[in-house]
Amino acid sequence: MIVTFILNGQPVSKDLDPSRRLIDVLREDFLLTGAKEGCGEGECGSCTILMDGLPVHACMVLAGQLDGHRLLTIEGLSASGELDILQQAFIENNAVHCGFCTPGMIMSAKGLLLQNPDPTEEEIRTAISGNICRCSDYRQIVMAVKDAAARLRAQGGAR
Amino acid sequence: MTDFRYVGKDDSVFNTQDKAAGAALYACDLHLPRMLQMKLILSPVAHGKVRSVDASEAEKVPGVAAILTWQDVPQTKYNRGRVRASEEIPDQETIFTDHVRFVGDRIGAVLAETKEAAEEAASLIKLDIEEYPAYLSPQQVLAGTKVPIHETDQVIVPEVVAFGDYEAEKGEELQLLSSSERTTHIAMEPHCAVASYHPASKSMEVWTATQSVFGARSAVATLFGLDMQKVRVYKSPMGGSFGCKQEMILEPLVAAASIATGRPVKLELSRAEVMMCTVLRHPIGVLTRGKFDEDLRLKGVRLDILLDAGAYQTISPDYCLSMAKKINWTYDMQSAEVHSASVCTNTPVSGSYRGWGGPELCFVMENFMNMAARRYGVDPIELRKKNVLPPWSVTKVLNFNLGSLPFAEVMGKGSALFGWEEKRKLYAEQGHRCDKDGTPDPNGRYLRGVGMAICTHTSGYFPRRPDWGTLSMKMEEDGSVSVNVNIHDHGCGSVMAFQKIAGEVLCMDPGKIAIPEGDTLYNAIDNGCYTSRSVFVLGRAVMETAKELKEQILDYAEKLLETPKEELVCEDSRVFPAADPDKSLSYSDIAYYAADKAHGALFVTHTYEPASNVGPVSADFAEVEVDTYTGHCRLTDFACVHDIGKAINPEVCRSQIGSAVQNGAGMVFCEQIRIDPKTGAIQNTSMERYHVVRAAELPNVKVEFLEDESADGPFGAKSIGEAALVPVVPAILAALNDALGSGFSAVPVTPDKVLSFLESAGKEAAR
Repeated sequence: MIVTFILNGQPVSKDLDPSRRLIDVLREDFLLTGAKEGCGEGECGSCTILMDGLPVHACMVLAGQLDGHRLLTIEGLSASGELDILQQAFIENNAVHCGFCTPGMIMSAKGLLLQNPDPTEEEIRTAISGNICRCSDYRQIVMAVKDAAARLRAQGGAR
Repeated sequence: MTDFRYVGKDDSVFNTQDKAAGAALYACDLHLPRMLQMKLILSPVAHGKVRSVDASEAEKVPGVAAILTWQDVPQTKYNRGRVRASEEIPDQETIFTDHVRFVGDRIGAVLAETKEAAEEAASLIKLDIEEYPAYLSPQQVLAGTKVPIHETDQVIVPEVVAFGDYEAEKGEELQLLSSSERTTHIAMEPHCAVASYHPASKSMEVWTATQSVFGARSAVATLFGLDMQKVRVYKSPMGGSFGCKQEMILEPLVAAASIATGRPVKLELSRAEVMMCTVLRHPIGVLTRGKFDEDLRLKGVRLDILLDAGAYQTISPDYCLSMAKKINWTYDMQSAEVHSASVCTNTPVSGSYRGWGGPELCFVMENFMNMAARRYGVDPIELRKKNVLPPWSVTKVLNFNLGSLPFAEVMGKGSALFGWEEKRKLYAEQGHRCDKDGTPDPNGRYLRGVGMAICTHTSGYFPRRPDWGTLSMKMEEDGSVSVNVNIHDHGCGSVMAFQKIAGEVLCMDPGKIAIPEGDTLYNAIDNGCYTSRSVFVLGRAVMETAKELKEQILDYAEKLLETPKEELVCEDSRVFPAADPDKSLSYSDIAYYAADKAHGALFVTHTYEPASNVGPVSADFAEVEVDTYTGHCRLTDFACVHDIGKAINPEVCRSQIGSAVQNGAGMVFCEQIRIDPKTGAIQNTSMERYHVVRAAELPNVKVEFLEDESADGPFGAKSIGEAALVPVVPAILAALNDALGSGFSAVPVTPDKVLSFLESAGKEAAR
């Protein structure tokens, strides 16, 4: 079926098997390999992207569900070539280690900041509890999200 | 403490820009022209003989290129843990097998144009298997196997590690059986490898997130009779290992498939396959006996270790010895006897896990010490103070110096950082009952308790086997530097640590120092990134090599600046006379001068051989909350003091400890691979049913480093990555036992166990 949606700001119309998983469509058809498959069952969060501004697991969404929706992947955050504030904050707060969970983690954090520009530490920990990082106790990730939130508020909010 | 320009300052790990942009390319992101996707055909039974494989339906799936079984690949037996062909260890495993030994053993594979086609075809394979009796526990195997799992080496009893005469020791003997269940590593990147065989030149390329490209090369070259220089293994970015990518599991398989098809092959495992057919942490049972004198001094211990190796021995016999040889690293004692056995069973393969026996031995010994402290009614810290080894002790096993061993200091500082005495008193006085926020409340729903554990760990192989770091370093014309070293960053920042070490010595921005990772074509042979040797051994080698390169720079500068070396200063990639900073040359000026007018390249090679192995000592303190309604346990506070020698990149070292706390909390509360006692299959091959501790369930871990800079590691550094995990599990378990008033020595302590303990304790109280 022809599926029409917005991918990282660009309108897309593509003939897709509606039963294919979004993660495969992104990685194989659009060569957007930032979203990673860590479990394939919506438990680890490594493939998190935003659909209409809300975090979803790309392994749990099917191509047939994309019509009319707006998708933002990790690649869309730095489409201009510059890393965005959240990505910068992850780097500067040492919240990136092996990096496999990082794209999904950043997208979950992005989703949180779109809804809640000034989250508490507890709200951040709850928001990222669907994303597993095994390289830390999440402390640096929490710091990064807080830092990004403060910088974004100073700029007038997340977009 | 010495003040450094780069060392000891926080920097993000290597390649964070690409990682944060989603642009870092892992093996799973690699795509080669004509590449086939591989899907394994796994045994559905725990023990049996495959009579036939019917692939007729599978072959009809469009896009299927080949279906391979044991008949199509070499049947040479090998050991996935072998890093060099010269190692004498038991060979039991084959690429594919018709004698299947666990649910998940490899019978063959489908190769297809797409992942979907390979999966569909694999699901259509019909297997005819004669089932054998399955032996799912070491006890069953030791009772006798009617159909052996292996003809030889089914049970291996390693040498007894002993000193003194334990039996002759006087004093009351205490006993404790400690055990832990299988766990899976949950490195976020599932295993993936790509191989490309070039039939015309008989050469092979392999991309894999391994801890040793040389180990992978040795396995591939030896199994397929290829010249080593024609097998090139590249270390791809690693999405975490924690030991699961230490052994050569996928590399022989993709290489076999690429040779068989003449096309590049990718094998990307699903999470379920990672759990079923890569490697799990050993289930262990250890009976500890120990004797104390009237002053509560530990006279001696005897350990009987039973290790379930799973279906193949692989590294398990060594794992027993790795536990045994650490017996005299923490406690001073007159005698010790460590007996062990590594037993094959019809269960998934056990193998390498972060710490390689260190956490296991610590778990056993610290459980024992915590039990003894409870029994004798003494503060666990006081009991340890009486028994720890003094600084600079020589261990009675292998007789080498263990280093500064600041046990008293880590316990003292840790106790203060955590608030040990206050918390211990507070919870004990109120019968451990608390409300949700931890305030003591005699009618509270929750129980809180505290616990602690100490340890030391290894920093490299010395003196167990020869160790070294051979590398080269060169300066480019623009003054930037490239290093050729066999490093495998697990994602924890060893590359950045090396950049900082070299930058410090060369007085230049670490960002201008390139350190590509493991590549067999260029690197000198190396032991691999195991046993906490990366920073301690290879990092020191980087430091020494950088010093030599700096000497070359100074040799030219001395001439060009007409100033003796001793009066020259290097700063920010420039060199100048101390007395006349304006008269300076850049490193680039010197590199051009060397190439244009002198002896050519600025290039050095160096070999560093470690002559010590000092243990990083640490003390961990935990506070656990138990919900008496649900049995759910939560870590509410954690503090660690770690004798790191010198933290090269402190914030990244703190992450390592945080990661270890997360990992260890999982082992105490929830992480467990459950085997169906009827079929031998894993019951929870999904992350929905394999629980890890999540962000919302963790406290902010408090960390303090002791930095006496006394060790032989670079700038005095000792190890951290594995060491961080070593005392976590017994510390958290002790806190749980303190909260409950229980004596659990088997992990995990899942909510059902907590509830049944509370129920029986309630009955006891009512009696």
